[in-house]
Amino acid sequence: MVRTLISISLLFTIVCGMAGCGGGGQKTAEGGGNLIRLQAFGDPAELDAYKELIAAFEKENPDVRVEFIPVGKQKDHMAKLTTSFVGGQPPDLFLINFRRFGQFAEKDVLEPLGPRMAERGKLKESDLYEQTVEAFKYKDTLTCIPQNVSSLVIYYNRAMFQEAGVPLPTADWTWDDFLVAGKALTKDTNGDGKTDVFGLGFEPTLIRIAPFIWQNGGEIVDNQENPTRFMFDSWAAAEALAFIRSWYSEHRIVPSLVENKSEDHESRFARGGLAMIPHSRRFTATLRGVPNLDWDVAPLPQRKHKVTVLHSDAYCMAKESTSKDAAYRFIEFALGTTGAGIIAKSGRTVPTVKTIANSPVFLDPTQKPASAQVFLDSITSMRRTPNIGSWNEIETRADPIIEEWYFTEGPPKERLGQELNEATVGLFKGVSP
Amino acid sequence: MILLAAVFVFPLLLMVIAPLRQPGLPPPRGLGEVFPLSPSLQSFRDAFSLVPLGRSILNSIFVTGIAVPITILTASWAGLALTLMRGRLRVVIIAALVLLATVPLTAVWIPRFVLFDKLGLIGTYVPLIAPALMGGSPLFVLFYAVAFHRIPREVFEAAIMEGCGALRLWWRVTLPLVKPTTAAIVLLSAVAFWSSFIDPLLYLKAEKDLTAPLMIHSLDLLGPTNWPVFLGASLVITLPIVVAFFAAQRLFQGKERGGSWLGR
Repeated sequence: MVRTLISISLLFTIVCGMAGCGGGGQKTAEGGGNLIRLQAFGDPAELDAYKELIAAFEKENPDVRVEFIPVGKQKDHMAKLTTSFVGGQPPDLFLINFRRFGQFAEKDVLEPLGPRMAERGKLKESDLYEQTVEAFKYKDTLTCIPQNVSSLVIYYNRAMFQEAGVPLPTADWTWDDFLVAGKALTKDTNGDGKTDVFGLGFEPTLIRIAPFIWQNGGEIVDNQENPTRFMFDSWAAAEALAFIRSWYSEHRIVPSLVENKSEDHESRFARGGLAMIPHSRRFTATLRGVPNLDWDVAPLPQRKHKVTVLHSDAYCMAKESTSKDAAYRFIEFALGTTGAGIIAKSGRTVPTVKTIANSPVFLDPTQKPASAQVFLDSITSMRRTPNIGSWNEIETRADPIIEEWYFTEGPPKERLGQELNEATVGLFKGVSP
Repeated sequence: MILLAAVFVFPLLLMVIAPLRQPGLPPPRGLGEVFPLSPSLQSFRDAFSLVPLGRSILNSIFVTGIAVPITILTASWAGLALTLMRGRLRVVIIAALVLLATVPLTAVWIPRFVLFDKLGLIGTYVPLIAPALMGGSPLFVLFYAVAFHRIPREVFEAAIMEGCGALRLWWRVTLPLVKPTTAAIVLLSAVAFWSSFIDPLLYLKAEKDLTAPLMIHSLDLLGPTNWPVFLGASLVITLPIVVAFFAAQRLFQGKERGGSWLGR
């Protein structure tokens, strides 16, 4: 028995030793706080842009080493991030969407970067689009520094519009123009009684329906800064919701739930089975790779107001970081001319640094879309969802209800706002900025 | 039966055919377009150039190669101990194992992370291999316990009377009698360690250390026009498990105790 125990102990030691060699060992901020760890998410091409950015930074700052922690999907990024925060091993820097940063700010685990920015003075708030700066303020202090500002726009198949003789979307097109185009472009091309080309692909989620409610003068919550419930019962919101539902229930210009699940909108648009799709800048990268697809972008249609919804990610710093100065120097570099230029070249995001966004690096005339300026023009009409800590959870609970409501045949049984308020009971208590 | 098999084979067949499509093209419209007219291996080249797939496969082989033998050792030791044990303690331990098997992984994320953090092992492969030191899974221990339990009692008694120690009893007498069980656990644990996603996601940091399933998640983000790349990488990382499955077939048909995988 003693021999057995000795064997087990020996084996344990060998395994730990071997595995330790393979993993490269624990990496802490040794060396006077000059090792920083950056965690970011994105597709391989986007992550390559970060690697290029890190290499450029390290070349200019030989005293700092950046360890890159790449994660693919945003969901996985959040799982890794929350676990490492709870476990006391957060990365020094990470990128996060404004709809998800509230939960970290609320728990006071983020280093507010506004005061540091003011103190160092190299990078200024005024260098960045104010809509994004405002979105990352917590209790009136700039907490994270925005890196991109990808608004929601309409991607459309230009060839389809021209073939059908439908006027191309303009900067001030309206809901009526939008619906007329959607109806004209929905077609049964082989006469088998089934729709082959849909005028519109719409993802029925809170973040997608919000701009239409705002355009009609409605609100999604009762108070933007201290929300206590959804506000879908106003006349303006109800009218916008009826307009959205009519795309499926009345006009059938969008794919059904089954069609939606069998082929996603992005694939349908890429192969020419869809004429219009609201999407963020990220979709540009996919479409640039599709040969022979004639496409462009237009702003969202307007009603009483011209409004779109903000999509933005920012660099946040963990309060526990032991390399704060080096980490901030990295942010300054990443948002400087060289750094922001490297990220802008990937084509996946709209830079939040005004000079870079308005330069040929972003508005490259040799690259699609021809109307890239639309992304910048939309910034002035951006609104955001509340950034309370529980907003991510609220959206997660709301989206399946919105999907069911959207695809219900005939009039919906329950009022959407009432159902959403019942499903999110207790979640609106979060401390607001 | 053939129809049923066809239902399960179809997705695998699709995984083999789809990567032959040129990446960047719009997704196929209907089944007719799934078979590419001009097959290309570009998606495999892209999969290896877009992400460090080769390196990640080597890392996965390293983790699985170490974890599976340890799983077999610890699970069979624990299974044998359970078989030789008598009285109420045995019942209590079996009940505890069944109970442990029902604990979802998410429930122990944080405590495990904190534990490995305190031990200074975050960023190494130890947290990925550590479950193997406990038999890999409570179920593997139970599998061995059931298999050993089916060996006639006289075999144990005779071996002990001949002066067999615990290790000799395990290695020379009982383990050769449960080869099909060992084969099944080798396969099940290999699949579990090979395809583990959450552990490498939480515990590994540097890109050079990442394992293959994380690369697949990354390629999934490329969008619908690059699905051939995603499926090409999926095919590449599925192949070793398929090879392992066919290689283990001989062990499943252990002559000593008949053909079934429980050893009798």
